[in-house]
Amino acid sequence: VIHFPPGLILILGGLLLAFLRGMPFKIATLVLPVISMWAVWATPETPVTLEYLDYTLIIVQRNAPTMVFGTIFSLMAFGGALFAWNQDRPLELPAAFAYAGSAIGVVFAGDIFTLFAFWELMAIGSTLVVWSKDTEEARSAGQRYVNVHLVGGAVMMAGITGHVLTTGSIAITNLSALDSLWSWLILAGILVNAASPPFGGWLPDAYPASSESGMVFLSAYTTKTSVYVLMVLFAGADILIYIGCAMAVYGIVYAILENDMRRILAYSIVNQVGFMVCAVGIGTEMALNGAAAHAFAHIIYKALLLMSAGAVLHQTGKRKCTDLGGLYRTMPWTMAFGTIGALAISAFPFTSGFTTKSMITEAAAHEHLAFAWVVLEAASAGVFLHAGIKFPWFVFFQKDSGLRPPEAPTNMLLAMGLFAALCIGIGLYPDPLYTILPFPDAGHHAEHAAGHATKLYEAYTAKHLIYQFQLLLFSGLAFFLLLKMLKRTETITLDFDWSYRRMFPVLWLVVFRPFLRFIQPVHVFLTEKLPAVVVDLFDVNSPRLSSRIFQGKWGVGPTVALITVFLAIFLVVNLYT
Amino acid sequence: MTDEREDEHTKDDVTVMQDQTDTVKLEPGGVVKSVDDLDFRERAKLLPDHDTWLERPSTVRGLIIASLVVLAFSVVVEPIFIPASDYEAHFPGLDNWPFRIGWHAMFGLGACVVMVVFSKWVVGNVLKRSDSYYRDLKDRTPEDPSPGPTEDRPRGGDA
Repeated sequence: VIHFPPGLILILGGLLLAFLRGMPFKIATLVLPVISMWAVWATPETPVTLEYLDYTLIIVQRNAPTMVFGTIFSLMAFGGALFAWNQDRPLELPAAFAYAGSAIGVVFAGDIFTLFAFWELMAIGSTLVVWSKDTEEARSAGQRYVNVHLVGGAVMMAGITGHVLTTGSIAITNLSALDSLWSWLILAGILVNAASPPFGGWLPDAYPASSESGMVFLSAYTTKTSVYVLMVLFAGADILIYIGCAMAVYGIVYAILENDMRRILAYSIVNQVGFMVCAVGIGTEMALNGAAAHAFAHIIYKALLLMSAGAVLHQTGKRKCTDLGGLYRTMPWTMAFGTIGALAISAFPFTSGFTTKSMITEAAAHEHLAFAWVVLEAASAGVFLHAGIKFPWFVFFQKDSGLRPPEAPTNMLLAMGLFAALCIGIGLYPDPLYTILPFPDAGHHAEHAAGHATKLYEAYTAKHLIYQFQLLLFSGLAFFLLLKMLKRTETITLDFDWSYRRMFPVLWLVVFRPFLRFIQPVHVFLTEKLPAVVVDLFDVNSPRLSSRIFQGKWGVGPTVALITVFLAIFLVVNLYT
Repeated sequence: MTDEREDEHTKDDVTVMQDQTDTVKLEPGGVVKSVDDLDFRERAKLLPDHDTWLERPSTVRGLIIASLVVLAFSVVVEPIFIPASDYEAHFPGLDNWPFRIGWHAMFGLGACVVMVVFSKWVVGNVLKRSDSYYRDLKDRTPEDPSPGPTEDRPRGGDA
C-alpha cells in the first residue's frame, strides 16, 4: 500500500528520464509504466490526506470511475513508450510521462484543489510533447495549444475559487444543477479540455503537428481526463447530452472533409469523446459505466489507429490521403493492425467498441431519450464511414501511390500488436473490464425484478448483433456509393481555431492597428506634450522655469495657474477628510 | 554497353528500360521522358508489384458480389433470429418499420448519405480552403506594407 499519489511515479520518473541516455533511458521508459500500474492498484481504499495551509487536501482517493482511468492511463504509457522505443527525441518521453502521471494524479484527486493542480500540470506536459517535434509547425501549434489551455485553466480556476469561497468546501461534489456562475465556469474550463466546439479547435490543430509517437500519447489523456472530471462533477447535467451529440456529429462532418490522415483521427477523437460526454449527461449508472468502459476501449483503439498512422508517417514521411495509397503491399502488418483499430472504433462485433460503446446508446434508449439515441446511432454509422473504412481505405488501399516503404520497425509492430490484441480481447471477453467499472453491480439492480441476468451488460444478443451488422455494413455501402464525393482534395476545413489564427490577426491589421495609429496624436499629446507643458511651467529643474524664477521673469499668469492648482487640490482633499 | 543503350532508344516498341541510375520511359514515337516528369500514378504503374491479385478486375468483381451477398444476408436473417415476440421498438414510430426488417440497414445508409451530403455541400462549400491557407498568412501582408507588430516604431511616435 502506498500513501502518495500514484501519478507521482510517472511525473518524477519523467523528470528522472530527462537525465538518462541510451539503453538505461529506454529500459526505464518501459519499467516506469509497469511500476505506475502497480502503484495505481496499491493505493489504499481509504483516502490519504495532506494538511496544506488551511485546507485538508485529499491527495489519494478512489472515486467511482478512478480505477478504470488509472489502469488505462498506465497501460497507455507502456504502449506509447514501446511505440516510441526507436525514436530519439530526448524531450518527448519525459514530457509524455509527466503528462500521463498528471492525468493519473487527476483521477486520484479527492478534492478540487489537488485535481486542479494536476490538471494544470497536464497542460505543461502535453505542450512539451507537442513542442518536442521541433518543427516550425509544431512550435506555432504548440504555442496556440498552450494559450488555449492556459485560458481554459484560468476560467476553471476562477470557477473553483468562486465555488470554494461561496460554499467553503473543497470537496468533489456533483455540480450538475449548474445553479451558480462558478459551476458554469468550471464546466466551461473542462469543456475546453474535452475539445467540445466551440472550444475544440486546438485538438485538430495541435495534435497532428506533434510527432508520430507524440500524438499517440496526446490522444489518450487530455480529453479522457476531462470525461473523468465531468463524470465526478457533472454527471446528469442535461446540457451535456446536447453538447455530446454536437461533438459526435461535428467530429464526423469535419473528418469526412479532411485530407490529413492524422487529422481525420483527431476529429474522430472529438466524435468519440462526444459519446462519452453524452453518456455523462444521461448520468444513469448504466450510462456512466458506458462512458468509463468506452473511455477505456477508446484509448486503446485510438492509440492503435494513431500508431498505425504514425508508422506510415514514419516510413513514408507523408500524411495526406492524396499522397498515400496502396501501402498494403509493403506494410501488411501495419495495415492489419490499423484495420483492427478501425473496426474497434466502429464498434464492429467481436471488437472492444461493440462491448463498450453500445452501452451508451443502450442507456439513451433505456432513458427514452429519442433525440440522443437517434444522433448516437447515426454517429455510430458515421464512425464506420469516416474512420472505420475511410482511414484504412485511403491509406492502405485506394490507388497505387507508388510508395513502397518497408514494414514498420519491430517495436512499433509490437506496440500495435499488443493494442490490437486488447481490442479483440475486450471484444470477446469484456468481463474483467466490467468488474472495474464505476458501478459494477448496476446489472443486479436493473434486472433484479426480472429475476435473471446478473451480468452487467450483455452485448452478444442476436438482436444487437444483427442490428449492429446492418447499421455498419450499410454505412459501408454508403461509403462506396459516395466514393466520388468522398474523394480527397488538397484542402483544409476552417475550424474554430480560425478565430485566433486568422480573424484576430486580420482584425489587428485592418481595424485595431489603424485605429491605434489614428489616435496616436491624441495619445502622444496626452502622454508627452501635455506633461512637457506642465514641466515647462512648474518643474524646478526646468531651465525655463528656473531662469524665470531666478532671473525675475516670473509672470502673473503662471503664478495664478499654480495657485489655482493648489487650491483645487486643497478643495478636493478637504472634501474627503 | 553504351552502344547497346543507344540502340534501345531507337526501338519503338520498348516501353520501359531499367537502368542502374534512372528509369526512362520511351514513348512510341521515340520521345524520351524522364520518370521525374511522370504523374505519380503513371510512375506507380512501372513498378514490378503494381499489378497485385487484390486489384485485378476479376477479384474486385468477386469482392463486390461477396459484399452484396453479405449485405443481403444481414437483412434476411433478421426475422429468423429475432422472433416477432422479441421485436419491440425503443421509440414506437421512430425505430420500427411497417414490414419489420431492415430498419437499421436503412437508417445506417440514410444517416451516412445525409451526413456526407451535409458535410460536402454545406460545410465544405462554406469552410473549405486550400491547405496552404494558414501558411499564406505570413507572406500575405500587401494590404499592410508597414512593419509588423513586433518591429513597430519606438514608443513616442515619429515626432
